[in-house]
Amino acid sequence: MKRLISLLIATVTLAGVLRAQTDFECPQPSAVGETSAFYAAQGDVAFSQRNFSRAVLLYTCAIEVNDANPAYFSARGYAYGEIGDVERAVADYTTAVTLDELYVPAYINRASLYTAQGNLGLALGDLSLVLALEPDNLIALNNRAVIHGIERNYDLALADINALLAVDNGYSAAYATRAMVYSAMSAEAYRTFVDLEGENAVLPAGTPDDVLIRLSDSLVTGDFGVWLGVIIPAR
Amino acid sequence: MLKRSMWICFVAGLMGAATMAQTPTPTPVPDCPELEGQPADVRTGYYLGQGLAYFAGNQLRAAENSFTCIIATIDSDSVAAYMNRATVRTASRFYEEAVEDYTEALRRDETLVTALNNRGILYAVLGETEEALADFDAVLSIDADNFGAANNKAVFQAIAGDVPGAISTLEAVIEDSGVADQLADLQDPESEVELEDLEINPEAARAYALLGIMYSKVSLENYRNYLTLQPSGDFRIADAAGSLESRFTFDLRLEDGTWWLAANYDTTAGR
Repeated sequence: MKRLISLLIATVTLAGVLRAQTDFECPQPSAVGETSAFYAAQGDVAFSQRNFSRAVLLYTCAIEVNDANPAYFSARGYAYGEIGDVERAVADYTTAVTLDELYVPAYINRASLYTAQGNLGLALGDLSLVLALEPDNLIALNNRAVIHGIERNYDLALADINALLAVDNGYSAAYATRAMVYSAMSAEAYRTFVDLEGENAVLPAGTPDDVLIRLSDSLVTGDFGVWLGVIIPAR
Repeated sequence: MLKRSMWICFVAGLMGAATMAQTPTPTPVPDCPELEGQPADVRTGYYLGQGLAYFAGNQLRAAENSFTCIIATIDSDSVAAYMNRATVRTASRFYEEAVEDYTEALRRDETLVTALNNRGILYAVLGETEEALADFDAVLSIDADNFGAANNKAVFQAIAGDVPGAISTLEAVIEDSGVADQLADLQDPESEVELEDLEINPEAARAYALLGIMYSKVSLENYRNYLTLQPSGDFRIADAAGSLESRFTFDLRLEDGTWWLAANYDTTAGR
């Protein structure tokens, strides 16, 4: 039932967008200045105002004037992505990189959509290409680490994050990603412990949630007691 | 290319708002990083589009910054940027700065009637009588058929107390535009001409409305004269005077009458 309602909502929304596209007339351009840039700027403003459907229409105006600029397709792809039209978003990013095979933002954003769809191989391909072009691209390093994390290739994930932080150790998002990777490793290790000791086995230092809280506290207080729970005595 | 103009009647209180006009402050050059390294026409197009979009969203400071980016970092002779920034500054009630922008635009194109007309209105709002009339006259010397400017001139003449002059200006609009002949055709019972058949110039038609206001003003003055001379005279005259006075207070007021001045904000201006 929920799926049916979602489908109906999606259909109505898409119909609204298509109707808007049919009715929409590109604004009168200025008499001076390049016209496609004029429309693209209006699209950027609409996007910044979170009016993504209007942004799509305005980027389309820019593309109608100049269909050789990858930035316009990439921007429209991003706006499509925001309104949930993944198919059109991917198509626009693909057009952008067809027009300019070095257009990095389109690869990065297409990879994000591929990741969300579970097409991790395609996403890795895009991000690895970006990193071949720009080895220090922080966003690509972070996002590839995420994919490695999803694939449980934690060493590769940490390698990307560490490479990122070697370039810019003030890049805060990287610490969040690294925390996710270590959390995943932690969860996986606990899972393995449970597999070996049985579902009802008592964890040596407390439940995973307790341990995380106590570890976090220990960083502030210096109380290392939580670690003592996992010391193994000799017999 | 089609020219789309937006005629906007100034709303009530603009003249009164002159006293609330914000004090101009020097505009620092904003950051203008968009499309750096791209050709000037591309960057100009971008900032024009950005400024107009911000303006449409009532983000006036952001819009002003967009046009300032063009003037300060791309093309200090961009008439379009000055014209659009003047529009934004008018909306922001930075009237003196808006006058400066129209003046800069006119330094680069002295025949720009839109700038003359709109600056004339701003001068009127700021109470600078001679400058306002000079701008409206300048429009008419460039384009004698600019009936919008002629109407504005008439309104300003009336505000300045020259009602006969205003009536004369409006009658000239009616005569020169041919709208009187169109009206005669429509009123002729023998004529088969329909309104839909005619292309009525709205500014020429507006001259009739303004003329009605002028005669109402003259009527009111005459009623008042009568009541001054005969305070206990015919009560119907007192009623008529009261009714007209009330309408002038709420509907037709000329004294703070930029109600009836019309500006032309043409987003494609500056070609």
